[in-house]
Amino acid sequence: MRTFFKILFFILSFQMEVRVRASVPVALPKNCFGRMTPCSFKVTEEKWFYSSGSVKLHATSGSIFTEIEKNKEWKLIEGALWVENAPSLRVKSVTSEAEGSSGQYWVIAEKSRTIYRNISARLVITLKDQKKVEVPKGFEIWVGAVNSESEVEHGMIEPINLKSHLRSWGGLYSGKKEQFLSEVQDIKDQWADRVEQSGEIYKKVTERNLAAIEDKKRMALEKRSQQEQERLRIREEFRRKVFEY
Amino acid sequence: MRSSSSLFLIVCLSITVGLLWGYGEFTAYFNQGKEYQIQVRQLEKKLEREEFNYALLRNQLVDFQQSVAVILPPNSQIRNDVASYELKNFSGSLRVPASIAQLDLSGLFFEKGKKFFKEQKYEKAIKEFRKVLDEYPLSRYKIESHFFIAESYFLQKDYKNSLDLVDQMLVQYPDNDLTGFVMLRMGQISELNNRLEEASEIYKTVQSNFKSEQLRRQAQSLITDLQVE
Repeated sequence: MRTFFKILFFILSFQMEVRVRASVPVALPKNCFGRMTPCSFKVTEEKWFYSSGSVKLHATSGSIFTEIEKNKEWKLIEGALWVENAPSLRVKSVTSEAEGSSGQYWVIAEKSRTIYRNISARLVITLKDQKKVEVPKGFEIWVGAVNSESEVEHGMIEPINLKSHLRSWGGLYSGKKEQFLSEVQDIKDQWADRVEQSGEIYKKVTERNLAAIEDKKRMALEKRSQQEQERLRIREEFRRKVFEY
Repeated sequence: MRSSSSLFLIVCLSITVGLLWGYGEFTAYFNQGKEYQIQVRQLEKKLEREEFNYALLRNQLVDFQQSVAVILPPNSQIRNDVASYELKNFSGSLRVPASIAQLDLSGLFFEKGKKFFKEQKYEKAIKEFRKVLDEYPLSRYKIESHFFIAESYFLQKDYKNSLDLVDQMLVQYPDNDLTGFVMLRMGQISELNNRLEEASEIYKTVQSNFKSEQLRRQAQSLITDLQVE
């Protein structure tokens, strides 16, 4: 009887259709991720996490990246990247690149612009027109495309909307709920004076713009007075040539 | 005894195998959709790959566009002559559109709306005037567009929408003469709803607050008509 059952199970097992779905990430070149650079790939998991040396990255499902140089240079093509810790990493987009010291920041690629959100790093954004913008902790900035004056369009540095940020952050956070709540509270405490900070930033930017306008006016006046003097000199020269000779 | 039990075992096994095979064949015959499901899954995977390749290529193209755009001279430095025509065209196609001021076509829509209004095609007129308000919020035809929309609704006997527009004009342009005219319409709506005292108050307000002679004369005439009634 035992033999009968053994043989029966053996035969039955060959009747069962077993299919294994291999989760192969979409990558170009094929299967390049973790093996060679440059490598472009698309995140297919719900919560993607990458850790190598001091670099810790998270990304949303559907995000597309190109790893240009291992742990040194990444390019975000679509989606959102949460850099939890990557001191010497440069994250590039079409018209800008971000370099942050150890600390957290986010890079979000939208349809026609890229948003850089600084949580706790020292974050410097270099635009394609070589301008540099430092984003303080608790602030974000959007960077667009090149405008008619050959400058990269970008927004003002503004405080992060914590409510909408928490949704994205919670979606990628892999720790426990209590830990997440404690981190959120820490961040709220650290960012308590963002309103005053933003006031200071806007004041500086306005003063800088006003000074630039004053400079332009002064230069225009100087140019006009130089032209006037030149005109007088030529008139004098002409008068001398005509009446004195 | 032993041979009979072995024979029994063999028969049972054969029947089992036969049943299983028959089940497999029936399932394959009646469940042909399974093949299509496999095909669909393969096509979905192929589509995912193509979309990924497209995203990469598009990104490369935009990257190249932006790199070229940043090294071209600014628009303000490109001369407006025949020699620079191609350069201007090229830079215009590369740059982000929002950096250039839009052409103001509000006049065109406003005239179209007025034409429809004169032809008593009020629905079409409202559509054109709304375009002026929605697409060109800083247009000089803004106040008149508001007025014409309110008038069109009134003439269509859509008093609720007309009153909404009157309210908007009262808030946004309280000192404009056209607001006075739509207030007269508000008074007329009150008259139609048998709220004669309210109508009278509105006419008196218009008479006392607006300086336009035509407006004051109209308000006075409406007050007189009300008193006669």
